[in-house]
Amino acid sequence: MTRDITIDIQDALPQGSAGFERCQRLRDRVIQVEPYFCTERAVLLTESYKQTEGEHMMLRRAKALDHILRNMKVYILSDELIVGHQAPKQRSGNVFPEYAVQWIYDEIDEFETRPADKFILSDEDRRVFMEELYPYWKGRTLHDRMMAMIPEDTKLQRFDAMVFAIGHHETGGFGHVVIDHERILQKGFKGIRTEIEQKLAEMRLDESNAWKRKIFYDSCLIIIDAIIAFAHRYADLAVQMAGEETDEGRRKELLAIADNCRYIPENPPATFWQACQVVWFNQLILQINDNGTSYTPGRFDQYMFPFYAQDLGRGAPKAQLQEVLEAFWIKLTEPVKLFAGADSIINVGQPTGQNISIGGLSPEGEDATNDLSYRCLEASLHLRLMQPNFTVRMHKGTPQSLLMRAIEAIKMGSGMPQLTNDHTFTEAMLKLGVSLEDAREYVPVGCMETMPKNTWGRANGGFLNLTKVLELALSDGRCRITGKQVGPKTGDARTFTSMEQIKEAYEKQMAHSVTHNAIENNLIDLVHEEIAPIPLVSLFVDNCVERGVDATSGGAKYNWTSVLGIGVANAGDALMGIQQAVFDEKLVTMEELIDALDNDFEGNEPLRQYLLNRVPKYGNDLPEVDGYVRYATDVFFDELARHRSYLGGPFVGSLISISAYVPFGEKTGATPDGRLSGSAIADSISPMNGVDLNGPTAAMKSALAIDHTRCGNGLIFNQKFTPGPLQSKEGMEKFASLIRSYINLGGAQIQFNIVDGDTLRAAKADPQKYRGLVVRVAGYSAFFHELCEDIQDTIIARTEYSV
Amino acid sequence: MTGLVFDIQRYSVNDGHGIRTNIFLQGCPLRCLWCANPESQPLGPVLMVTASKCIGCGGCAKVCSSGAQQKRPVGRALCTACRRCEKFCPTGALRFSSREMSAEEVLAEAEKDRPFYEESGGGITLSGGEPLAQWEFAAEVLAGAQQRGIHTAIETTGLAPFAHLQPVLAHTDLVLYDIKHMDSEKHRQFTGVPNERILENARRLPETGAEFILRVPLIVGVNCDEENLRQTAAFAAEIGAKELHLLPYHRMGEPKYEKIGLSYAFDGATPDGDALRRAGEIMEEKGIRVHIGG
Repeated sequence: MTRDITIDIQDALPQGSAGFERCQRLRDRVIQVEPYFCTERAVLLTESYKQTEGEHMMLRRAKALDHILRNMKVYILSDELIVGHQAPKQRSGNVFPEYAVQWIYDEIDEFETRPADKFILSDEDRRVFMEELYPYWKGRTLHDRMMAMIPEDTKLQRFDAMVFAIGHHETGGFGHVVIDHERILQKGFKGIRTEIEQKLAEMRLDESNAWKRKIFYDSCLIIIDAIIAFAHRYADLAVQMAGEETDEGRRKELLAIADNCRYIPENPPATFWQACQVVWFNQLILQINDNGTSYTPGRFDQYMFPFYAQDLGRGAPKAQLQEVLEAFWIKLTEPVKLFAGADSIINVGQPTGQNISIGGLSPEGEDATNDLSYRCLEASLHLRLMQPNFTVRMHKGTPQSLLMRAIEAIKMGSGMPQLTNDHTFTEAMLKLGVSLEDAREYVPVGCMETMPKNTWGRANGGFLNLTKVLELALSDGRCRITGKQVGPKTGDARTFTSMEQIKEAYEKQMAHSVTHNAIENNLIDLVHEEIAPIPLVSLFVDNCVERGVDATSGGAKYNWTSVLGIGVANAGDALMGIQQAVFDEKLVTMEELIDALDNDFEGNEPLRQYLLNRVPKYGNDLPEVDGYVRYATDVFFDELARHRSYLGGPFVGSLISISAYVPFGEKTGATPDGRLSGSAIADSISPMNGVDLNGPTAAMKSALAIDHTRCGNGLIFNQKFTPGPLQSKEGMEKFASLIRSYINLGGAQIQFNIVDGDTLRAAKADPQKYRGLVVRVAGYSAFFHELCEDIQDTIIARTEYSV
Repeated sequence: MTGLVFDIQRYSVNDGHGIRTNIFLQGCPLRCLWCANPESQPLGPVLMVTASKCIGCGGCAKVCSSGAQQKRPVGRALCTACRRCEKFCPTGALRFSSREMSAEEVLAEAEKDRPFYEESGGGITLSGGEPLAQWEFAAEVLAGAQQRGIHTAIETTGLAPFAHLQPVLAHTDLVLYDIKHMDSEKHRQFTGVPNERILENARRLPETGAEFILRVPLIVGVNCDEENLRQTAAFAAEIGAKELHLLPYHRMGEPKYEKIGLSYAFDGATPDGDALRRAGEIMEEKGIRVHIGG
């Protein structure tokens, strides 16, 4: 095994080859399939729970998973090389009644018609849910327990005003963790079982906490046996199918699949194919166990490389290994989750967050790029799927060829891979007390929620809307949408005479909102520890097994709770609007401004237009307004630092909105940046739509005004481009320089939206919304909305051609 | 000193090497029928009205010092460019084409993207209008940029006394030099001026020591004919040009005409792929490297 496998930058699996065509068939099937609402898992879980009433909850969880894995439907579809499905129908959603059932009961007739993430519901599954599952679970779920305990003033912030929302963890599993596949690949579950058995043999039950540890270990052993049995069921099925198979080639494949599933994941894999099957079984069983998202495979090109290199050393052709890799890659698109309508709008499009990272620094600080990094990029280029979420880790020494190949993938328009900055995130991790070696092993979890391996990051601890906090500061703590007093009384802003008073009110409101977010997060942790411990997840997170402590009880090496700040740009733009309109230019008084906000600018359109068009906006490299954005985020981070999590760790901030900018905007009144009540807020740390008029370098410089090293749990910076300039090699090289400059300046993350014809058509229909969209064609740049119709049409046509 | 600047565009990737900041100076002696920046032609600032942005608040009429804003359409002949309406207009519908900036202010803008120039091998490009229309200001900006170690380029029509061109080129690393037509009469017909001085200045480019690239805007019905292309190629070879950019005509500037109270009368057409390829071949036959687009 050696690192100096020859690197092939271009394709290993030729387009048109049999292997390529197989993977395209697999791809086409998975994108055609319609997701169903499936009750099989829930029925098996309920059977088990009824049998284990009165036992310790950790053991009940383990036994329930055992019952599910031994009885759920197993099936292998044609062409599959990597096997295993989470539900009786491909790419379908399981019910997790132990977390919550009320929302399903309330929304059961909406799954087929709701605006986002639809599911087909059969009459039988409907009947099973309504007659068997709901009556048993009603009143006994994690959600019921949580809602019975949440304090009234926390509810006001969480539900009435929606200053923050922790939707998923109130009704589902945690997820959001880096899965240490490497341990399983190196030791097999057999090796983990031996470690646990030794721990149990050495344990003295008269020591403090020993019983707790014993129950944890007993649960782990039940789960390990269940996982191995599950794999063996696939082996048996493959043998049976091989017996009935008439095609000789497929018959041999099925027998090889059987051999794989008989051998792994009990034993460490002997081939790359087996290693891929191990990673998939792990990912799959985690999805079956709970409905948390963002179980993150992490640095796939690193821990898989030894198996890949070993096969190459034995003479396996790269094309064959690439075919296996792509067959694996496609499987990651299969997990989908049933989420409540409101949550599916925040996380629209089934982002299950299985994030694979490639490249970047090794723990020793060297560039870690290898041939498998390029193979992953090739898979991404060939398959163009929404999962895995895909990241290229960048640093100053990232090979140019890797960056250029990544740009080829970015050009395809899916927004992937995203690029992250090792230098900045390493520094951010060090600030949180992470060791240098662990810091260099950071990866984005889910979308972009960075953490090192062996971290219980407790990510997705709620989106917290900075713009809403500013609203409360300007309304004496009263929610402008509901009229309810949800925050402390920080003074009538009509009487404020300086920016200092506004900032003081903002800081007090922030203190209150973050405190209640922390109260709810810590309550959620208590309830999960009691009702939904996760020994399965703990098997993949050090040092849980070593310590004999579940991840929900603090078994991991690092324990955080992470909160996502949103509405960043609007908060800063709004502060700038007040300063200029009221205090600098004295166009309006505070009283007039607050009245205008109360009335959603009705009757005062010139003021709104002034705030929209004549006040400097974040995204244009203008230090004064960028300074306000920095201030608004610093107050958020400062306040997080004043709280401790349920497990005694820090509250860590991120600046990520996913698609929450729409629903949170709906709950936010008019703001002094000229934004109307109920309209969307800005995305993550990106400028407000259509206000960044000075191009990408200016937008980047603005984004850099925020302290990225305070975003230990990540941030997202979205940039829109048209595909045109990326068509030439020269254009791609300039684009690469742009990215490198941003990385050199300390930008933590960037992702690109290469705008296609559909977006341009939308921009044509709604020019105001896409005001900042710059089209660069034929040696000249222009705002798309300023072009006349026939030219717009030409560019739309050309763009589609070029994509 | 100060100059009139009508736009500063960062992340310009089509006018010279690397990532550049384009600085557009007001004023141009040519009147090309296809001009994409008509507001840049006069020597002073021009009122631009974006009708779609106007909400009809009427504030401009109240603050106007000349009476121009009391008229609809706006009384451009009365306008003294006092700029009160621009200052008032809440939507940005009223805007003057350019503003006065000192060389120091321009250089401060240029400095903002220095990290991007350094990574990409970029710098600044002075464009217009015709940057030589403000040659002293142009020279000062370019000299300042060079002093700061920033790569400098200009995009020029070349129409100026050589005595104006020379001090500008003394501080220019790369010249993008437009050749619109080889026939002086046709040149006058399409651009309002003959071409003798332009060609004469072009012949003297090698002696300035700056790297130079010729640029030809390719427009069907103006300069795409075989004869003109052959003459252009011969001229490029004669003056020792190594590289030539063919810029296919576009109508991107059309919306601006309405904003300044004019209509877009030009009826040229964009050459198709075959015509572009043919033009490229003619240049390459003379040993000149051809690039399509900027």
